[in-house]
Amino acid sequence: MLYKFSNKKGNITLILVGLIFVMMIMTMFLSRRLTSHTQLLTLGDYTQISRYYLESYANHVMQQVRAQVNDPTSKLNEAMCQDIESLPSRDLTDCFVYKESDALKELEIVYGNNNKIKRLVGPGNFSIKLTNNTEAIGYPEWLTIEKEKTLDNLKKEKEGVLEVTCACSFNKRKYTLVVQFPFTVVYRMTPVLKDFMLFADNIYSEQRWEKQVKLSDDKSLDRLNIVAIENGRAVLEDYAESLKEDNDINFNYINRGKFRIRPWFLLQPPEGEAVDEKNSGMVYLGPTDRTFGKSIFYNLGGIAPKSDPDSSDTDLIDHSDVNIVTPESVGLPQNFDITNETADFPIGGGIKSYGRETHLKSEGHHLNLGVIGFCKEFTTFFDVGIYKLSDFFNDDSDVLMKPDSETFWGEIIKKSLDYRKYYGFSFGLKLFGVHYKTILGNPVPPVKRQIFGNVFGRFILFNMWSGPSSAFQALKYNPNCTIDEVPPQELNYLADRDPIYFRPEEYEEGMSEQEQREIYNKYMSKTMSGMVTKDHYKKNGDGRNQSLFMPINYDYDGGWEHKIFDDSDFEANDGFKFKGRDKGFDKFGELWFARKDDNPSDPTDDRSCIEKRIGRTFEDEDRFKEAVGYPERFKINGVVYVKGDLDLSKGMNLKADDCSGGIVLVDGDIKVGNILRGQDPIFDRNNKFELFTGSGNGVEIYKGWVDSASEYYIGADKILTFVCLPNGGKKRKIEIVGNTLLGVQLINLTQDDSKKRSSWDREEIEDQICWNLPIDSKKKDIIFYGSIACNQLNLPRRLLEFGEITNSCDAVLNAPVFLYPSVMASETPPLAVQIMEDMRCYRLTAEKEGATD
Amino acid sequence: MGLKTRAFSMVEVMVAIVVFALAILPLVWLSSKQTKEAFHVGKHMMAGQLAATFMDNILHRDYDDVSNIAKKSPYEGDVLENSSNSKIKDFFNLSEMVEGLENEKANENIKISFRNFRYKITLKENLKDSYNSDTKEYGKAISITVEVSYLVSDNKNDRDRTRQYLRINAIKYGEMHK
Repeated sequence: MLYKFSNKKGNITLILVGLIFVMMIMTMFLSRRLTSHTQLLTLGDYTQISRYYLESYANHVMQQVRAQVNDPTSKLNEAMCQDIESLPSRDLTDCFVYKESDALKELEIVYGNNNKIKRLVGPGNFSIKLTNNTEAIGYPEWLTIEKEKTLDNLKKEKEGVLEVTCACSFNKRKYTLVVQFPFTVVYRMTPVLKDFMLFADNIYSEQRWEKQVKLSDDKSLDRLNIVAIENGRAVLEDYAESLKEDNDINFNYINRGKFRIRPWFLLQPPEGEAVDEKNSGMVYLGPTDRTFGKSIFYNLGGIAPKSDPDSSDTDLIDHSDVNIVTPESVGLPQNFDITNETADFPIGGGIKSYGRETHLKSEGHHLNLGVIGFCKEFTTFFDVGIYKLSDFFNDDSDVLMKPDSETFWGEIIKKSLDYRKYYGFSFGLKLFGVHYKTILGNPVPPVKRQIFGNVFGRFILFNMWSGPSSAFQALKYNPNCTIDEVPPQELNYLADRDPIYFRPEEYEEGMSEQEQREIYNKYMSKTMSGMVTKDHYKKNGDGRNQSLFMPINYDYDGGWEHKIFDDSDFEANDGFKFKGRDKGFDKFGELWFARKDDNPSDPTDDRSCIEKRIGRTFEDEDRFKEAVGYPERFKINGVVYVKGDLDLSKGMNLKADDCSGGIVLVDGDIKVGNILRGQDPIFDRNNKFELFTGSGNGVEIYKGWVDSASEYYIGADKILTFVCLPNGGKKRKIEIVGNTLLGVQLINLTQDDSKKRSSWDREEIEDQICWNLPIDSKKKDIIFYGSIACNQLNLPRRLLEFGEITNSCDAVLNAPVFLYPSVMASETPPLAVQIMEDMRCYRLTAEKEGATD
Repeated sequence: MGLKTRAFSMVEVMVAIVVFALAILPLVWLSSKQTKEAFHVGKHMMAGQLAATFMDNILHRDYDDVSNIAKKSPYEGDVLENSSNSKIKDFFNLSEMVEGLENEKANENIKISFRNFRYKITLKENLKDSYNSDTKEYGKAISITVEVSYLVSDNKNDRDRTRQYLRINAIKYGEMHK
């Protein structure tokens, strides 16, 4: 059957129209699809362009933020360094000053032929603010602040997130980028340690007296009392060989043939710096452990009290330090007339005592307190002169200079002359600065400096008394003697006159014998802080709380009395204190510089220490040097960690603007060259160091340092701290290869607890911080303006590094200069803001312009 | 009466064919163009991704690293070619990344996809940007231009085988300095 078409015309037209219609629909569909592809592509391109533009913009803002947060003159710095509660607002936009970027403007031109891309400003479009989660970093439970005045310091170290919002319009769309960067605000110096001029928590192991008590047959190994003194000056140690023959090896370490060494003077703060015990640089000689034996005995240097007529005019200073002894410190009444010093008291041939005279109870009666320090003269005076040793001491003198089987008497009298020379050596550190002869007659107390640790001053008291018109008579050592048993003075030329009896201030008629004995014990001649014998120890304990021991430290609040200071007495200007004795000075380095992987399972190990404060990490020293601008600049701005050794031996000469202080934690050894601030002061010394005397007219160099207008000013925010991180108790070393280091703190507390306990059994004392200088006869001009913290000093080695003294060495003028910058002890330590490199949040949004959220 | 059959005349059929052909041609052309456009969009997006990868790689580096290579800018080459310059290898070379793929097929596909892609990276350092008159400090800035180009068609005989360019810009900022 055939298909029949309609008779009507136009079928073909209809079909064609339909076909074309379908085609048109298809064309429209395809066209639309193409258009949407193009639109999608265009939107993607616009978004990409906007994204990179905004990223550039945000990066530029962060560049400016980073520059301003550590500029002490900027509002942004001021705002971020407030304690958390005092933060003016979390929105810091108004504190920020934006400087245009040429590069960014060029970019706008590239993309905006018709100003198509435009930066948006104003509220909602641009902001810098802190997110809500800013909080204090905190401190371990054993470190706290209790002083109301400085409580805010606790809350100044903080961590949080800084949020930057910036926006632009592009092709009728508004693009907004929000980026967040974590930040921390941290102190630029290490709390507690920064307040110490010298911190050596295991230095007692360099003296090893403990062993002497436990094992009496051991020989002493004293590497701290090593400076030979004669006529108030360090002198040629020409008898070390003979001491060696006596098997008294404590001086052998210093014996390099005939070599003269000077003590290490921890000088008083220079004139112009506010001076009190909190900011003149504390000293810690550890440990603070009060168990018996862990004590350090400091032989006071003998004195030439009056200027020697033979000495030169520049010879203003001697190496003695008996002037730190006060009547109170040896248990005597405080009514001594300290201005009446009998400096040249004629005890014997050549020996001079640092004497102090006072009136006794009865009219015309005098007491002379004769303090004799350690010096070469002491070894020879006993057989000649007006007074003999036997006038003061006898066989019963059981408080010894040395804790072996010999008594003091036996040691002095029965041994050879060479053996007596033991008494010629004084302590290698001068903790209270220098003693100026020029101020005798107008006594000035020693520098106010707190000395922490069981450090006892050792010296000998040769006490005498006199009645009216009588000669001085020795108050002989005899702990069993009563006041009434003191031989009276008979005045032969006044035959009818009654004998004159010794009547001290505390004496009263009718006192019991015991009471009288106790009084006499205070007045009799004796050795102060001499080591006790085993027998004495068994009977009386170590005796450190007895009047026979004089702590070297002054308690300034207690009227300049002497007192042992340990970590529980510590309170820095910024208010930091220790809470528990178990986490005191001796554990500080180990705990504060601990890393998480050191002891991850220890629940008591608080992590709020240095690790939490690290702002930047460098894989090697090259990256670190590049980042801080070494050697032209040195900008730390916070706490940084460097993996591997760090060699800065090339040195630096830093203007204040080129230096931003901070802490460099090094997981390796450190070499430090000169760190100058302007010209090298060594070239300007020229015997002008009376500027350090506190009474001189000041040193231009020093004034240059402290003058705020100086471009080389060393403020607290310019102090550079270098720390060797612990390495599981393995040795680490800081080597100083320059002569002059200004505004530097060096910390090497890498010995762990077990090492500290056992180190006195080792022959080897570590060179933790050392000067890499040849040990020869050349004088070394060393200037160190800063602070040192280590476990052991290896003192003999350090003194040898400082070089042999020459003829002029007896003055301190040519000695190494060690000064403490009191800015380090500021009440408000400087802070650094560390903005991390890595973003925490990145949010890019797009919306049509004019659209509302 | 003779049978009168009704049917399309030859002329009608021919006209219809001609009209249909005329109508279908643009459609075919459009379809072909759409296919090419889709291909082009794909290439464009790949170029965009590639440029972004280069850019992000540069932006995430330390400023000093970028500054070091800026001195010898511009850098250009085939995307998949091995760079002989070890200094910039880490920055711009994708070949190692591709070689590192464990899936050989994916590796091959990527090689095919990127075979006609080239890059050109221009780095221009400005050490005197963002002058701060208070502190007398300048900021460091490096203007970065990443340009990726590709051939629209992979067919060598294609007359339309033009090279398309995609360019993005950004700035990397360093610290302020005297």
